[in-house]
Amino acid sequence: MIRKYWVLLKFNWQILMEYRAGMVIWVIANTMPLVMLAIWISISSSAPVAGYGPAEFAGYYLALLLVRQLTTVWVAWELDYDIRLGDLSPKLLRPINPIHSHIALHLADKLFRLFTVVPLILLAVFFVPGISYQTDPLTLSLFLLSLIWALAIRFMSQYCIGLLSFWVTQSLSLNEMWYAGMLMFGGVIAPLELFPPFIAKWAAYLPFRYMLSLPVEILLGRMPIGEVARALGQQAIWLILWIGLFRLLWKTGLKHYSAVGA
Amino acid sequence: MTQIDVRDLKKYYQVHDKEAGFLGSLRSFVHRRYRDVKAVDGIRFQIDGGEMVGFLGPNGAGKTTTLKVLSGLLHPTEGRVRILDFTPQERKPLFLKQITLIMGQKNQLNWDLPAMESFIVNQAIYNIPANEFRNSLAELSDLLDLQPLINKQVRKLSLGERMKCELAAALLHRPKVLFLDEPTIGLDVTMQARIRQFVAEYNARYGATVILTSHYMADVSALCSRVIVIDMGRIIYDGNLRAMVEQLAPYKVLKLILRKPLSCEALAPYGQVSNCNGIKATLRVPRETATESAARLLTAIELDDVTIEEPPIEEIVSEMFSRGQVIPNPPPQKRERRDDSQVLGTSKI
Repeated sequence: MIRKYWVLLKFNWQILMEYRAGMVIWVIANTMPLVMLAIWISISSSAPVAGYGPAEFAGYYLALLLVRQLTTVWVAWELDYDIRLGDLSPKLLRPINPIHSHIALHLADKLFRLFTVVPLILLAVFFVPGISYQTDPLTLSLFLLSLIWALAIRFMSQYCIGLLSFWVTQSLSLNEMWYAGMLMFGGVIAPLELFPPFIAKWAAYLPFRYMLSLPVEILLGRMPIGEVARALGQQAIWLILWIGLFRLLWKTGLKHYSAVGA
Repeated sequence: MTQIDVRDLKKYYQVHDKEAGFLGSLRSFVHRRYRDVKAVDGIRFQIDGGEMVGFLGPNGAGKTTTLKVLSGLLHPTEGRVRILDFTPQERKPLFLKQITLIMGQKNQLNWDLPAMESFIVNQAIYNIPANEFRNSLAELSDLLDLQPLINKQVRKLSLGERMKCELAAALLHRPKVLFLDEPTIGLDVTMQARIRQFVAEYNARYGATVILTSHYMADVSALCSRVIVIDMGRIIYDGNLRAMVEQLAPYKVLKLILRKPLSCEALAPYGQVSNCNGIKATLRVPRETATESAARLLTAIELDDVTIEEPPIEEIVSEMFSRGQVIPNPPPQKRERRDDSQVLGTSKI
């Protein structure tokens, strides 16, 4: 399996390289956190908001940009296309679940971003004064774990939404709602800490925090370790739930598949 | 030994009807009416290892749906399919490694990369050992003249070149059962012949079982001695191609070249005149008395040439579909048949 992934990764890397210019545009377009950062800096420049001054906001949103870049997922579009137009058929004929090709494509993309946009963000962090992250090995490894799980949850949840194309033709509009939920409750509009307590508490039960905000919160080091452990536990539960739902949808969806257009 | 065993297979699709226009779509949005389309409606057949079988039938007859069920893409609505002792829709890796489905209108190769890159991915996915992969590729390159093609970006290949690469990608793992759905569609006559020859060679070399659907009768008559004729989701003939032709067309065709132009009436006593203009004429005569008729003609009329031929298969098949089988009001959707020449007319088969 590792060998298969290695080959698939190289294959998808080459495909991405065929679309170099497009890739750069996609990476640059993914800068919503910077827009929010500008807004919050102007708001907090006169007086800090709930302990967040301009430097804290800069630290928060640069970390969020990093996490966002490394967890970008577009698999719902791919699935929608494949299922509605019958392009899933050739993929189903191979003795490997099509999800592995999709995973490999996304991993190749993350590798690309790791070498291009991540150094730029790190450079920005280095030059902006007053940013402080928790950089002890434990926090960094928990951050990394949480980042990988965030990517996995975003991928699996979007995969499940994409699989709905077996039944409905408009799964992408559901995906837009999902995206809006993430902007709202994933920490893009504002750090979850700044929400009124009852909304923040409620948001902690939704999956969105674990798709984007949690790794950032860990890196900022504002949570006691016990709370980090509990949040990671919740993240793990969401991941397991999505994987379970994927299996169910995949199995029942294939019975609905009509393999059109051939 | 039976490799493919299909019993009472049914595949119904649920479709909803939509009236034309904006109001129609609004109405279908509020109140959607569903109905079943019986794409395959209770077929059964067995195919032995190494056999080459042609599926014939008009558009929407259920040929492609059957192939999709056999290759595990579609779940049957009813009935049982066993192939190499597997149930296709379970899509067990061991099953998928022994079959292939080649669709003339769908590709598996990535358009942005050379075909070779897709071959390498298939090698990994199908677990083909390096030396087997090399041999397989060398053989396919040899049979299909792939060498100049495999390192070019796929989207820059011509349709025929791409089809050759698709065939190679689908056969690298040396499947035992081949489902070919319109493999020669859109190709020119030379390339069609090339692909046919290749399929025949592959079958001879590996004893592979082949099921083929095609609009080009030449594909079927060149490769398959057995045909299964499907119409409206049911099998209306299963057997030897030659026998079907004899049964459906109990006549032979006499082609005459006359020394002097004659009227059609003058030839009428010798057989059914299907074509006469000036010095050329075509007659249909009963199969049993074909030679006698030719002899009678030779003595009675001044002829430059006479040949006795089998009637062209495409004519017979299109006659078969247009005779008993065409229903007066074909239901819409799956079974659209615009006209017979498009379905199985002589030009297209």
